[in-house]
Order: sequence, then structure tokens, then C-alpha cells
Amino acid sequence: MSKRLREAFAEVAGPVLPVALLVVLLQLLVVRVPNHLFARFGIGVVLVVVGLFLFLVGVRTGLIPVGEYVGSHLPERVRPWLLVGVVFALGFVATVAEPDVRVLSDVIDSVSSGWLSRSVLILIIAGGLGLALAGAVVRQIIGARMAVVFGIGYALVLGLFPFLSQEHIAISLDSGATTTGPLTVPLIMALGLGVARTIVGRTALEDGFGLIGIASMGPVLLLTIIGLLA
Amino acid sequence: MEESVGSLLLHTLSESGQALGPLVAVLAVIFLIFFRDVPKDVLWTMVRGMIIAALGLTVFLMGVRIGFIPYAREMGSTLATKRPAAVLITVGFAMGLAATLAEPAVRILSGQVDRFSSGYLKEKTILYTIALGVAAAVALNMARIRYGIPLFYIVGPGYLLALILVAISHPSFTALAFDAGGVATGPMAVTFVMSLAIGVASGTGRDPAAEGLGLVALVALAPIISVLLLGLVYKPPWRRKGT
Repeated sequence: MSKRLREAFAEVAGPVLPVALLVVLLQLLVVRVPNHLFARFGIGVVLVVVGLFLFLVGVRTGLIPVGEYVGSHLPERVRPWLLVGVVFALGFVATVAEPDVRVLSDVIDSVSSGWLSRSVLILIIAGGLGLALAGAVVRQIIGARMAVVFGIGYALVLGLFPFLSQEHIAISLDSGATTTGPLTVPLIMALGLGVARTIVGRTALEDGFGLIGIASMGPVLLLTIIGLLA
Repeated sequence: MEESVGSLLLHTLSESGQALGPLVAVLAVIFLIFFRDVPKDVLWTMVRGMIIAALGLTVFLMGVRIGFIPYAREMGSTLATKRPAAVLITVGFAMGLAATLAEPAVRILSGQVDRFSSGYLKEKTILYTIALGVAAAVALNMARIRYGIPLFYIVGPGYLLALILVAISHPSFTALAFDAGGVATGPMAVTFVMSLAIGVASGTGRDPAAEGLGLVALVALAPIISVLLLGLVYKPPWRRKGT
């Protein structure tokens, strides 16, 4: 257990500390940000490390094993169409809980002209991810090629972008990219590998992977379409 | 942001509960319907883990809101107004590198690729390919904001290039490349680097929404291109068999 805790701490401190060190260097050598803000940054580093650590420990002990169990055993137990529905629901609620999505919607809410409220934005992102994951399972069931899926998806997005405002394009793309964080990635990987394993004759490298990419495409498409309608 | 720490804490705590509650509820329902035979203490383990996770999420969000966002914005706006563009772009590159090289999701993906390709694609090779892609993206984004280039002018050709590369590379690399784009956008990119970009936009006097947003999009796009390019360079053994 203590080894797992140490690992979780190293994982959290890993990406935060290099950035924090770089910030200290910049603060000393390149930019002088007022000291009270620098102090708040220091407090922020501690809170972010401790918070992400607790989050990871909680998610790993409580949620990921359960998610992996569902991912590897559910495909054997339910009919494919029901599996598609369950995957949608899981993708939706996992996105609602994703820390990255929370912060992104905070930042967008603070600068955007307010055509979307924060909670609606989170729901749209979650819905987009859920739909994309469900679509990915359909792809695995019917065996369509990954390149075809990405081709159609991004061609659609690129085709619609000229009709949208700068701000809207940025929000759509940013949201798609953020859906994949410390909670959704392990959950999606577990589900994807579980489904790939039960559908025989596919290589894990092609089938288990690619899910995260498809998942990020969902919110972009949904936000783009909603932007056109709004 | 300027509310008192106490009310921010309460607000964040209830937000965390609302964030994690639905996930627990859905998993519980799945278990009760499809996995009746599984011992019930699995559910209790889940609830315990979720309470710890909710506390963690609260502390994390507090840290981001109290510390990261205000500092990063101020730093961005100072960099934009008082330092030459070259410094701004270099800082962006260094930030991208620092945030990605140590990002656990990127390491996990690189390790998995190493194993699935039976060591043919080395973990380090994938890791550096992704990190250089992200660093280039953050630097490019700084230049974009500084010189006021619309996001679409970069993203449009970028995705077009990605699609062309997808068409000529092996399916295994397609999947890996798009996953790499997804995992590169970890908590540091979204919290700190994104706020930095928004600070740069408002410091330069541009619309922070139209110009400042878009960083995460570029950070997700760059590794797709860099991994697909890696796929053109590498000739993995399974490629010759023609899958």
C-alpha cells in the first residue's frame, strides 16, 4: 500500500514540480510578478499536489478497479446494443467528474462572452464524450477502420469551422482536448481493452488504442454543431 | 475569484460532490443490475475511494483558483508587454517541455506502446516525440497570440496535414497518434499554461476569449502530427506483413 501511495505521489509531483521550478527561475530571472501573487502560486503548488494526490488515491482505490472490472466483464454479459448505452452513461458521468474539464470550464467562463453557462458547457462536453465513446464501441463491433472514423469526424469539423466565430472554434477545440484527464483516460482504456478482448481477431494496438482520440473528437463535434444551431 | 477563502471552500466542496456523485451512482447501478453475484463490499470500497477523491478534487480546485490562475495570468501579461517576443516564445517552449516530459499519462501511454510493439518502439522515443510536439505547440501559440494570427489559420492546415499523414501511415500509428494528442493535455497544460496564454492575450490587448483560448487545441494537435511523422520514419516489423 505504501508503495502505491509513493507511486501516486511521484506521479502527481512529477509534472507539477518541473513547471514550478521553471516558474521560480522565471520569477527570479525574467519576469517580476508581484510578490503576493508569487506567494499565492507557492500555496497553489502545495494545494494542487496534495489535491491531485488525494484524488488519484481515491480514484485508484475506489473507482478504477470497479471501472476495469466493468470494462472487462460487461461485454460478456450484455448484448452489444446495451453495452453501447452503458458506455455512453459511463463516459458522460466520468467527464462530469474530470478535474481538467472543471478547470477548463472555469477559465472559459471567466473570459468568454457568455453564450454558454459553465454548467451547460460541462454537460455538452460530457454528452459529446459519451456519444463518441458509444460510437467507438459501435466501430469496434462493426469493425470499421480507425482512419475512416477520424477522417470523417475531422473533415466534418473542418468543414463547419468557417461558419463559426474565432471564439467558438477555440472553445470547441479546447474542450475536446481537455476531456481526457487523470480520471477518464484509465477508465476509457480499461473499457476499450475489455471490449477489444471480447471481440476476437483484432490486435490490441489498433483496437484498444484510438479510443481516447475518438473520445476527444466527440465534444468538438457536438460543440461545433450546437454553435451552428445557436 | 475575489470571494473569501471560506465561501470558496464551501462552494468548491459542494461542486466536488456534484462532480463525483453521478459517476458513483452509475457504477453502483451497473453493479446492482449486471453484477449481482459480486460481493457488496466492492460498493463500499468504491464509496470510500470516492469520498477521498472528492476531498482531493476540492483541494486541487482551490489550489488552481487561489494560486495558479491569478499568478499565471499576471505572468503572461507581464511577459507580453514588457519582454521581447523571442523571450515569450522561448518561455512557451520550455513550459511545454516541462509539463509534458513528466506527465504520467504520457509516460503510461509510451510504456504501453513499448510493450504492445514488443519493444520495437522504445518508451523514450515516443515520450520525446510527444514532448517536442507539445513544446512546439505552446511556443507557436505564444507567437500566434503575440502576432494576432487567427487560430483557424494554424488549426485548419494542421488537421489537414494530420489527415494526409493518416492516409499514408499504418493504422496502428493512427490510433497511437490520436491517443497521444489526448493524453498530452494533462492538468498542468490546462491549469497553468492555459492561464498563461490568456494572460498574454489580455496583456497584448487582444480579446482574451477569441485569441487567448485555443492553446489546449494546439497542444492536442501537435503530438498527432509528430507521432505520425515518427510513423513515417519508423518501419515497424508488423508493417511489412501488410496487416
